[in-house]
Amino acid sequence: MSKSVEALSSSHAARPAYGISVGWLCITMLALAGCGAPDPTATTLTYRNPTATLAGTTRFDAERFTGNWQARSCIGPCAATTNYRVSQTGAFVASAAGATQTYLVDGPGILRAAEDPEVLVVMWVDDGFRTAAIGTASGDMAAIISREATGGADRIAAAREILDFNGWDTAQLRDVK
Amino acid sequence: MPLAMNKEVFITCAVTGSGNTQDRSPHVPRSPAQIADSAIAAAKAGAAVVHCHVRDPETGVPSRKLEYYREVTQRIREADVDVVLNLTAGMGGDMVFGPTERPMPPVDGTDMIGASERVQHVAECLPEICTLDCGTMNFAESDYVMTNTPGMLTAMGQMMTHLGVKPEIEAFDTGHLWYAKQLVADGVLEAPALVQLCMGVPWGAPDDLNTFMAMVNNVPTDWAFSAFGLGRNQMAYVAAAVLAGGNVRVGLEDNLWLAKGELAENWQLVERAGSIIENMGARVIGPAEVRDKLGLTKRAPKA
Repeated sequence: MSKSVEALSSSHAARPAYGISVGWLCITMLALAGCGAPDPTATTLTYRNPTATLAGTTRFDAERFTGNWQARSCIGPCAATTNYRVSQTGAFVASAAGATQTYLVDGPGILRAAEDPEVLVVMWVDDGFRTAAIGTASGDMAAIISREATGGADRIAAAREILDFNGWDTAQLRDVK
Repeated sequence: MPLAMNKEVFITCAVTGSGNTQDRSPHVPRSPAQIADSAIAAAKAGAAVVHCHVRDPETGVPSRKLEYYREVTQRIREADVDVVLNLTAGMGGDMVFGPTERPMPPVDGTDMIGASERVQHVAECLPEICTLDCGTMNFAESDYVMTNTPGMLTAMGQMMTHLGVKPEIEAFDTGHLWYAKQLVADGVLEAPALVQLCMGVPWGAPDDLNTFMAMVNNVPTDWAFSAFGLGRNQMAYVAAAVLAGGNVRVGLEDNLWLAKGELAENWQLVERAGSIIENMGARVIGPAEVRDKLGLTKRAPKA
């Protein structure tokens, strides 16, 4: 069971469907713009096919999700290590690289940023809360995160499949050292 | 003249306040349990004093329900960390006028009660400190006026003195400090008094250093004072208050931000204030030292 956040990402419906590498698309768009200044009407690129369902996992449990997570591989920008904790008022707080982001838990696995329009979706987490697949509703970042820096190849593979199922361009995944 | 900074500083954490901030940050505690938890975490981070209001647990709207104050007090007193409790007595003096051509009767938002009712929770919870907003002032919220007339302040001040609860005089402007001195001169409040200089609260004293130092220079030398700056200057005011010889107040009542784009929790603001104080070469003192300095008595709430 999962809760869809398609409505949240519907604002990105005009974005190009994925399937073509981002690098290739960039080159094409620059060529169309005549190699001049960026075309202000150009569509923003994302790493996710917006027609695919993006869903939070009903297994999500804020308390169990707390603690340190290592990014094993990422699409888009991501921090190597992120700490999640539940604040005293029940908000969900992510801390990475000296900065914090506060989220409100809108639904299972659906974390709405308190101060900007971003929505972070926990698409999958294993039953031991050791590995998870997360990504933003805007489609600009996804990551496979794990409690450990190495190991758990079967869970990493499962997370990758979940990203693919949720429309992410898994060809863009890069290892995080 | 040599610098007379404070080398033994206490931090007050103003935990939740009674502003309409509950919808601007999920970290603003609402329920008595949340307020107490936030206060306890602030104490563990270094706050010697926690200043508490209460709110409706569901809506977060500021409240003055006795049962909420009692629960907050009970939870804080039962905590595994010691802290000086400072309860607001600022509620119940709110006047919101009607349109400018028809200001009377007052409109929604008005909450005017008598002096006894305004300190009822203080009489029952018996905190070491309660606040006494020392004057009437326009706020930057429509035509809301915080009312504290001389008669009301005299009555409330007498009750606080009788209860053995130390009033913390909230001076939002120069005249409030002037009147506080008059209350001491009249024997309503005992000397040496404790004063909080509330800077940058529209439309009270602005937070520029000239105004701040004018306030500081009018605090009698035997009084203890603390100061805070509202909003983005909260941490800068930690340094200013210490440099000026005072103590500091931080917390979500006055500021929601740890840094640009980062919503704060109370304990984080306290921790940062402590770091500033210690890096200035001063020492952060705990609740026992504060009680000793200010002559406070820790008591259990009335059963």
